[in-house]
Amino acid sequence: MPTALGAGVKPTKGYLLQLKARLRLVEEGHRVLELKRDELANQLRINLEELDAKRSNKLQRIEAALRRLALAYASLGSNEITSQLSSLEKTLHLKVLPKSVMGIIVPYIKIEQKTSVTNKLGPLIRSVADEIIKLVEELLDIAQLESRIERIADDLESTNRKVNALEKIVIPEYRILAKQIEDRLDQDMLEEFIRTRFVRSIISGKKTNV
Amino acid sequence: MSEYSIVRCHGLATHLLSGQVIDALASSKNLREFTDMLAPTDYNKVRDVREIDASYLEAIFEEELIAKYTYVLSTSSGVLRNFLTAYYRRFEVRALSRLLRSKTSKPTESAKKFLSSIAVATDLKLDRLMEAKDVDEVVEKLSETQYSSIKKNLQWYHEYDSTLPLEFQLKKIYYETTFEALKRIHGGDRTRIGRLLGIEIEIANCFTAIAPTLYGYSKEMSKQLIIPHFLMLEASDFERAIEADNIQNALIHLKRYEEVLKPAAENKDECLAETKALALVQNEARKQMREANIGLTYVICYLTLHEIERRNLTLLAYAIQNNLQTEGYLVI
Repeated sequence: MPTALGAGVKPTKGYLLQLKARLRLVEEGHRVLELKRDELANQLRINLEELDAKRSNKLQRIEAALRRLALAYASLGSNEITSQLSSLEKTLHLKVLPKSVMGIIVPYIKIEQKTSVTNKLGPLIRSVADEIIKLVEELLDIAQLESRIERIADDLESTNRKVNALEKIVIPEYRILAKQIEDRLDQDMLEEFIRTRFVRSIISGKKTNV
Repeated sequence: MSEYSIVRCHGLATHLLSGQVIDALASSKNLREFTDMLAPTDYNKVRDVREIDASYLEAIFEEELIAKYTYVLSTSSGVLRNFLTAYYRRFEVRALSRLLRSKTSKPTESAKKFLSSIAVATDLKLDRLMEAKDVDEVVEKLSETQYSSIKKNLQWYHEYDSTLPLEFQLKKIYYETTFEALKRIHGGDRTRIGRLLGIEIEIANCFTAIAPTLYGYSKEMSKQLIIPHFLMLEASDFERAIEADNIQNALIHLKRYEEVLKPAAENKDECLAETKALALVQNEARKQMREANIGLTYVICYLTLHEIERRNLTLLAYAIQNNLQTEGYLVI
């Protein structure tokens, strides 16, 4: 008994050729996606290493800077600190722009204007203000990297899902379907052959009787 | 009549919080405990604070300091009154500095509040100054007052985009007029008060002198910021410190204040450096109070100690609120 084919599947030679062409395309796509997945995994590893390096000692530095700032606040009082900081005309201005990395849109932080404390503040908050400004810039860099990692990880996950779906479901199904159509065509051909031979034997039997 | 002020200051000095009290305050677990301890002292206004917050307490401590200055001024007469009026202008200078800073960006309430709080002791038309739209206008308005020479530093303000040259010019004018008033005081008081002020100025100059090597400030600007009054160091020492290529070399020229500057130079701990500087001033004030307890010096020393007390209390309030260790940062 011939295997039942899915709806819309025609057991014809033309359809089989189309299916084979589609399978080749899917296999090629699978290969490309596999390359993308490997490259994304590589990028993710590199970025994670970079993040790890950038994050090292950051917490201790932030903690120390905040402690120094709190001490400066305590020594000078909030009014004086607020007043001194109000003399800084240029504040941090930044823009978050989209940037494409291997087709993935990642945020890119562009610092348009930096805050400078040189020549501006009193002795008690000079160095701590400078340290905090540096830390803010470094934290922005880390935030940018973290966001990039998040996007790459998301894309890696979806690419991996696609690769697995192609590898485990789509390609095997196409192959099975092609095999089924081939079998069906072979069966049809065999049936046709037998039928032809049967008809030929009937015709030759009639001729003998006559 | 100066004697009355001196006698009053002897009485008021007993109200200054002792080292043990400051230590006890430092051990407070929270601001409520801190204010409870302060309530029986001159800072009894802390009782009225509904929501205890370090910034409210800071305002109370500042108010109390200004009240004490105003009171001492009201008890004085003659040369002491002249001198105290000039001495009191340190608040005016501080308020003007805040006003100048606020004009570089947006007006801050703190400058207005502080200007109003010192209104009793100033003849400046504060409202007019507050209305100024920018720094240039404030300087223009100040040029009609005793601070007229501030105008010559306006170019430095524009060149470095910093109010420091203007703020330091105000300080220079302040010390100039204070020393001018001091000249009218005779005898040992003049030397003693001059010495106290001299230490204060030299400490400020030391912090200015290390700014180029430590924080990358302009050498040219730092030279402009030096207050031209010298006690233990020469002008050339400060110049050499400013020109030094590293902090170690700068400290060689500021040897006498090396211990004060070391925390800033080695660990960038400016608060500890400030504490050491204030301890130096406090020791000098206490020494002079013992040596000249019936002189005008006593009045100035008392005010100096009161100012240090305000700083200690403000530091404690913020430290308790933010759970900070104050060990080493209190001037006791």
